[in-house]
Amino acid sequence: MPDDSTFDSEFADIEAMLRDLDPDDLELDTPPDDIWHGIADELDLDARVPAGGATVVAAPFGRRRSWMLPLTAAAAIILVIAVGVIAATSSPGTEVASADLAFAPGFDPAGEDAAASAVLIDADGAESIRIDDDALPFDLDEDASLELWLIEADADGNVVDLVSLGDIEADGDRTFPVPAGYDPRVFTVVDISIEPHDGDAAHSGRSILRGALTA
Amino acid sequence: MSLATTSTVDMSWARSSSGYHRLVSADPTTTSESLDAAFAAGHADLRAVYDVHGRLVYNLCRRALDADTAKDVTQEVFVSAWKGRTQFDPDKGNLGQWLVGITKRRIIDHLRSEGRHADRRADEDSYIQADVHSEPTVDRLADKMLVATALEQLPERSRAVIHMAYIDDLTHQQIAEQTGLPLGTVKSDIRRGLERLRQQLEVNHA
Repeated sequence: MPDDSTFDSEFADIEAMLRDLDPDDLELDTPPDDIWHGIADELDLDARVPAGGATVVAAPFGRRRSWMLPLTAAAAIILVIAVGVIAATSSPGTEVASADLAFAPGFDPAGEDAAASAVLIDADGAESIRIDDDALPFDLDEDASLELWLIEADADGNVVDLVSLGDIEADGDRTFPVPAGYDPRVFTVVDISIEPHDGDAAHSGRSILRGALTA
Repeated sequence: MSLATTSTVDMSWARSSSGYHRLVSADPTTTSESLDAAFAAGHADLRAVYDVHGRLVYNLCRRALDADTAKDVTQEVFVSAWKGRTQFDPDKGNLGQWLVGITKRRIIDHLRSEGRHADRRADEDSYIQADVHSEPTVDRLADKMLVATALEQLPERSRAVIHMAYIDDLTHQQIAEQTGLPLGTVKSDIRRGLERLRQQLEVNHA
């Protein structure tokens, strides 16, 4: 093995695992769709609580923290209207709401030229957020990802709670299931943030784009 | 857009709150850090878990079992994981590894069962030992699939140089020549990729 093709013993184990791979090992198949249908059938997952009447289980890490990321009063009013409109027009398999995401003062400067829109999709109660038409700063100068969040705001625009929907990858899927127990009629604000790979799963506070879902 | 203004944004809002730190480090995918914590707390959507880990579980099954059995076992793994989700302890490993542990046991069970049906006269222990899909083989397959799925999650350039270095066995110099990247960039890309893989796999290292 030439000297320059291996790193210190620091990576010996991961290097050994990589060297054990054959090209065939990297040809992974996408699981057939009927596997998920079988799982859902067996666990009766299709019998979900109808959207809008969902019982919001306690958030994983406790609710009603005093985090303050106030929205403006105008935005808060939009949220209230949006909640009503979304609830009234919800139907299966359709795009029930959307949001234009925008940069705002106080956000991370990396988002200044970014753009995206978000669509809430309801397929028989299975809700997901799809990110469309995005121009996002994937080429960050740091070891960090872009992460998608849903935020619950109170009437004053303060952040009540939030949940991560996952990382947005440059060439990755743009549809993100909404976790059970998080109702997009409550968690109405879509947020994209820069999350450094620093071992901290909390929101970094470095939002780049945000917008409220409206029907 | 008027959702936030400079005067009212408190940038310390989330990071400073206690109890929101993740319980375990990253999974084989980069999207699942909070998924592990949510699953441990009993709040994760199984569909989200399946979206992240279905590929890992299915491909592991597919390499040890025929296509129909692989589908059945994948389904069994997620059903039993969901029913037994209170047993998931993020302190003992990440969600992907926990699911792989369940998958390995299910695969071994099926192979043993098939073995009994295939040759009722054969002594069961000798059949298992002679089988190419013995337990150590399934362990090795599992490691390969964990690495392969983690590798898929790397950024494109990082994945490409790691592939060239460890699967194609090229030297860093050869990679630099083939890609046109400076040698220093190749080295730092590989190192960054290795760091990310190690973080995702939580491999113990000396």
